[in-house]
Amino acid sequence: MNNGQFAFLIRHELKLESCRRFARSWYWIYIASVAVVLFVAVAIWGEAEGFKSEYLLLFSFGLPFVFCMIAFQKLKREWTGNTLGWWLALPYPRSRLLLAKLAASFGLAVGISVLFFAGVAIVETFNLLVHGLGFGDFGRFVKLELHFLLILVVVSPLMQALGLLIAAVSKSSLRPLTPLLWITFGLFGNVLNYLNGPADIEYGEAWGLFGGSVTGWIWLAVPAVWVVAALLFAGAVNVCKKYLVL
Amino acid sequence: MNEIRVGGMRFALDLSQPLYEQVLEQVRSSIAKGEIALGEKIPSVREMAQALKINPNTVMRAYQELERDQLTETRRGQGTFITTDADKVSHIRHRLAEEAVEEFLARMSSLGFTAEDIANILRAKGGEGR
Amino acid sequence: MSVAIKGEGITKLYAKRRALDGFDIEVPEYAITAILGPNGAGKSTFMRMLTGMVEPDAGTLTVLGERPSWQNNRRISYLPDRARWYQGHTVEKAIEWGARLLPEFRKDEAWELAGSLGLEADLETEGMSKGQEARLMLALCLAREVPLLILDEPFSGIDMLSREKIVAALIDSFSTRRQTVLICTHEIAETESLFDHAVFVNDGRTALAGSVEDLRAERGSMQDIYRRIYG
Repeated sequence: MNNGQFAFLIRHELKLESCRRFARSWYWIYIASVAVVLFVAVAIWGEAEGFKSEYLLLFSFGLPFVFCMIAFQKLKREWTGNTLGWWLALPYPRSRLLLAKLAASFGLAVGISVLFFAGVAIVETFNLLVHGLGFGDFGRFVKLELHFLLILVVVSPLMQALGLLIAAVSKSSLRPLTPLLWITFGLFGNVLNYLNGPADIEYGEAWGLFGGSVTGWIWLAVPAVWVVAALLFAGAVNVCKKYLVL
Repeated sequence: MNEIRVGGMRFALDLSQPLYEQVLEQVRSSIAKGEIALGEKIPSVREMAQALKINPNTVMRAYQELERDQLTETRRGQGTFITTDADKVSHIRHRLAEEAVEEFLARMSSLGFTAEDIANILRAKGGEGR
Repeated sequence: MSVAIKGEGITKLYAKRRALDGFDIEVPEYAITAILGPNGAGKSTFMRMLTGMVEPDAGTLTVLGERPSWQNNRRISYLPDRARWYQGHTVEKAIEWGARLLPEFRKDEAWELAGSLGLEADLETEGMSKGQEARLMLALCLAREVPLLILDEPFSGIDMLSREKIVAALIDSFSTRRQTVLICTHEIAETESLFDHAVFVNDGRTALAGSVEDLRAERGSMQDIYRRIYG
């Protein structure tokens, strides 16, 4: 498979997702309503101690689960949409086909994360403007967001490889293992909660990571996470090669 | 059985008999009857296959046999044409006539009629001005 | 006549049934072969084995001289059974997908086929009837210059007019291209005149196989034979 074809396949995977969703008007209405509620809430309670935009960041704890489901659905849709024959019979190795799904899922994950944090930053800006608090602390807020974003980006491949694996296993002779995988989903997905443990978000500390209370070895976790992600991905590829029940 | 008209010829195909033979026979028949004129162009393999809704290979086999019989000739780039040789057509007419008579005689014989019976019946029928 | 596909003793067992049980088959090259039989006879399982989607539990299978694999799929154009097309596509996008990802795809032919099959460029998948979707998928399969074409139930659940268009497109394709074609279908009445060779499958095995014209001379139409075997 040449690079042009691989890139095309990734674009194809991306377009499958977005086309339908953004075309539906109720989606935009929903987003607009949430935005309005947020802005109103901030306007009313946004002063120094009442409602902090940092609390909004807590919603990002759910994103790893969302990312896993994106990858899960990407694969599952091949058989629920009856396009499995087209996909599996493509003259390319399963690893490439699944990698394209993973890459597209990752792209979506990054996109969603960036949009989320940009949105929260906008809310915070609104907050500061409305209450005339000045932008001194804004830089620190954005830095906090970037820490969260970094964690999400690192963890996303893991959650998404897991999503692909769960989808593949659910349509294979290894189906009985599926509950175990969903438990893993619950354990791994909660990552932001674990990391946040030692910190206190209300006082603007992300977590021990950057506050200095945890040492540099934490950075080893990044390749470790990706190694596990690679293993899960290899598992998904193997299931698709040998164990699928059509 | 639906009758299909293709290029001046009439076809009625029975799926419980080999199709190639039927196509062949029915083209020969059309030629013998003069439904298509000497030198006239007949539909291409593809057109015939489309019209009859059958496998082009089957049509091809029939066409090849026709060419072996010299009833048709293929001109490169132009298509397939009925021979301009009237003798060939007359020959096939006689052959078909012989086949028809053979069949008739065989049936009559299986019904128990002798040659004389047959001759009598024919004479009687002949008088009716068919 | 050389053989495009050869299967010997192919067996596939599922939890509760034997899809294929010592299935033998030889598909001749450059002819149109039909695999016939009722549901559950193992036909689709076999078709999936040809593209490497399913592996036999036992037996040997060679497709175009090679064992089934994704590499071999370069030379095979496969219309899957009960297939649908991707949501969010149009006819144009589908042809683009074919042009980019399917080897030996002929884009101009695809457009010609789309035209003769009555498909407009901006027709969306969501807005297509089943017949239109079937015609689109067939167009994508026929627009490839490959030695083997496999059609799994191309007529299933399709309206009569779409079926006629599909038959016409197939006849056109057979007239112009030298290709081995393997079809599996229930719709024998409308399609038996297209077959060169037939294989009747019953209980995971070959019940009867041979040249269709020979079978006609010996036993009658394919429909008659079908009734006698399965009736």
